[in-house]
Amino acid sequence: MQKIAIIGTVGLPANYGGFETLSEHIVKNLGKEYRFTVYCSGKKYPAARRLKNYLGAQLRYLPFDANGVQSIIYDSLSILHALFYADALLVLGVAGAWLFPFIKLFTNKKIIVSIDGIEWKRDKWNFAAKFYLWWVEKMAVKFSHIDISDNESIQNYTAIRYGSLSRIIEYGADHCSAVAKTKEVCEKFPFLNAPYAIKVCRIEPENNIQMVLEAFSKFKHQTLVIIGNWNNSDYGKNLRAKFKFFENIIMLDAIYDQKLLNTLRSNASLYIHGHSAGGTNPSLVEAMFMGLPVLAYDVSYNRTTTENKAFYFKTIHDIHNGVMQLQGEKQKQLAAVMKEIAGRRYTWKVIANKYRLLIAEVMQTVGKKSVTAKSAKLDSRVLLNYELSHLKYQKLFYEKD
Amino acid sequence: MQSLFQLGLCAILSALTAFILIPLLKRVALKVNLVDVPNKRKVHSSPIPLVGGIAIALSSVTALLLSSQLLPMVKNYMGLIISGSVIFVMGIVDDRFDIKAKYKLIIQLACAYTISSYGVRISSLYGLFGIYDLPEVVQYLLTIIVITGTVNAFNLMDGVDGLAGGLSLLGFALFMFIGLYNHNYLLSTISVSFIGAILVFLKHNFSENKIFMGDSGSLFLGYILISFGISTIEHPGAILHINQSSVLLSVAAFFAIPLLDSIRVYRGRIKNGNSPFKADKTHLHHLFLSIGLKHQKISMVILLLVSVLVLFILGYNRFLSLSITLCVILLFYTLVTRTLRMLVEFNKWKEKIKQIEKN
Repeated sequence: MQKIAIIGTVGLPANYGGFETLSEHIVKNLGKEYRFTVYCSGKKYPAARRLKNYLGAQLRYLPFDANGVQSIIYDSLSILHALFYADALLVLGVAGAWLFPFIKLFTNKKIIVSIDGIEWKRDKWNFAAKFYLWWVEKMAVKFSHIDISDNESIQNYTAIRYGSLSRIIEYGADHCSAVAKTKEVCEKFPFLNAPYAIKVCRIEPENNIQMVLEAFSKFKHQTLVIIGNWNNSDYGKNLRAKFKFFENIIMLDAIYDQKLLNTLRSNASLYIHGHSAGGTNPSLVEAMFMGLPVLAYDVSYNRTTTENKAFYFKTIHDIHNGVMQLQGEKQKQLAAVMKEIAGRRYTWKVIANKYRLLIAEVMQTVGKKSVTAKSAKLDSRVLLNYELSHLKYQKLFYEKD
Repeated sequence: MQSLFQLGLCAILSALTAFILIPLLKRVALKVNLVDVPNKRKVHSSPIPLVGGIAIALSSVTALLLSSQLLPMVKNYMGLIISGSVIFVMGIVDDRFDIKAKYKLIIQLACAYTISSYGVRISSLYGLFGIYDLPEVVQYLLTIIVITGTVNAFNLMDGVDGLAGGLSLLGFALFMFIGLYNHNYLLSTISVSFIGAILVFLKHNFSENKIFMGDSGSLFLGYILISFGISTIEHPGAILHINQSSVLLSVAAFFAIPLLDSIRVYRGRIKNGNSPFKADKTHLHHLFLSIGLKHQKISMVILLLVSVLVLFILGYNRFLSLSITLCVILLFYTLVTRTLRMLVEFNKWKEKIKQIEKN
């Protein structure tokens, strides 16, 4: 059985974000075909809670954080350790990719890397971190055997920047399901008894929280529920102080009880998605799967995730329009469209299958796939000779008319 | 003590002359059109008088004429005085009428040949590639190439406020110290009279109502500096407190960054299929400009880089040979330009990603 190391997640069992859930489902679905080792952060799993094996995968613990500056050490050490035994490395995130050139030069290990969103442009990083991430992403794409984007827009970006053909694999959402509201929950959260819009996200500027809050503060008859880590930063605390007097705005602290969170989400009448960073956001995919109509921030990633069929906003005015239009029949229609997309594209079975094909491919591959066709690299005289000059300059998928 | 006093006097005299001359020259320059007219390659927007070089040359010559070193200077530096004057006049004519690059090059080669024939020649490779003494033909060729190359490198450096001026200041300061330590009083006197005038020029260069040094300045100062460099390496002075190898290495370190940068720029132009003399925006200071630094900061940073390099080389010269020094310098320079180019690229992508996200 070939051995595969999964590197760059917080660890299993998955309690945290998208990459963790993803690795759990890969292990679950492909565990019969490959022997997996998953690297876990010892900081998040205290010794008492550590498992040796999970769903057939071997777990290894490193005493570093999987996010922030420490992720560079965490990923690098995981990669180095995996080199001793693994046949292929599935690296989620780019922090340790500075090692890739050496691995490609000195070993015959295969590397699949998922570059996540465009991490280097996110405001939460300082200049040095942005610069490092920007550079290391180049190493990741150039020196891996296959790179994965989670969204078509990211694929366009890697094609434009590196000329490499990135594969798209999104996230699954079928670990979430709609939960009917119970009497107890309704008593605790009385807003459940009337229609409400919901937004679940980290309280960070890149998620456009202020814009959404301002829009709803002028919109007295529509309830808005935002769930997030309000007390984590001054940004969150200030917003909370500023908007706490509006009766239609309810700001809840982060909820870790998955079932309760699903209850609150699936009973909402509208899902507001303000994320402006990253590619396919797991939270958006989950909302779609639970059958919520979506009003999303207008960036290319969100448009591709929702197949351009949701409602989008760039300004407060757009939010007003969206909320006004998404009533009654239209709301139901949009919900059904979102549900259909998620059911077709965002289930773990589909996603794991894509990884299955990719891993099978990477075991055979030697070089990387380029976006330009091989015919375009032929000498123009040769092409001319066969009357095939048009093959020299073909429009690529990211070039718009 | 006596001599230090005289040096100080020389600097003050030169500075005073420049102080009086510059406003006068400015007025004349605007009348006779000796100005730099803005174009898309330049960073300023109104015509600027190109009188810095003239002021520096006249002021330092005035100070030297009145100093006790006049006769030894004429005796020792006859070749430099003759060829330097030709370069200076060529610079003024170029500032006013624009001489073709080809003719400028021919004149520079001729001047370099003249000064070589007066004995200012690189006579040895000092162990680089294991080579020491050179045959006379090679001495001539090498000297002519080095002088012409450096003069043009200096000329290219004159692109942001204070850079060419600051570099010359640094160079003359280096020669002043070498002269002082090695009892080469003539060298210190000449250096100091340039320093005085350059300081006044820099003040005007940075002011609202600014002036530039022009080609007459950058070509002339570059020429004087490299000639000093070569003759000082060959004859470091009467007493060697700073030994010949230190002089050699520090002079090499001083000229390295302008030289390497000009080589990089020429190479880039040829690679892009252009003439190596076709002006563009790829110099070191342009790289700094495109990462968003202001003029004065850029000059400061580049001067700091050069000073650090010179001091480092001086401090560790006991452990360094010419070959190792050149490798260290090359490594240092490559590191700086690579980082800068990456930062420029990074800034470009920050804009580009916004475009990509929109559609």
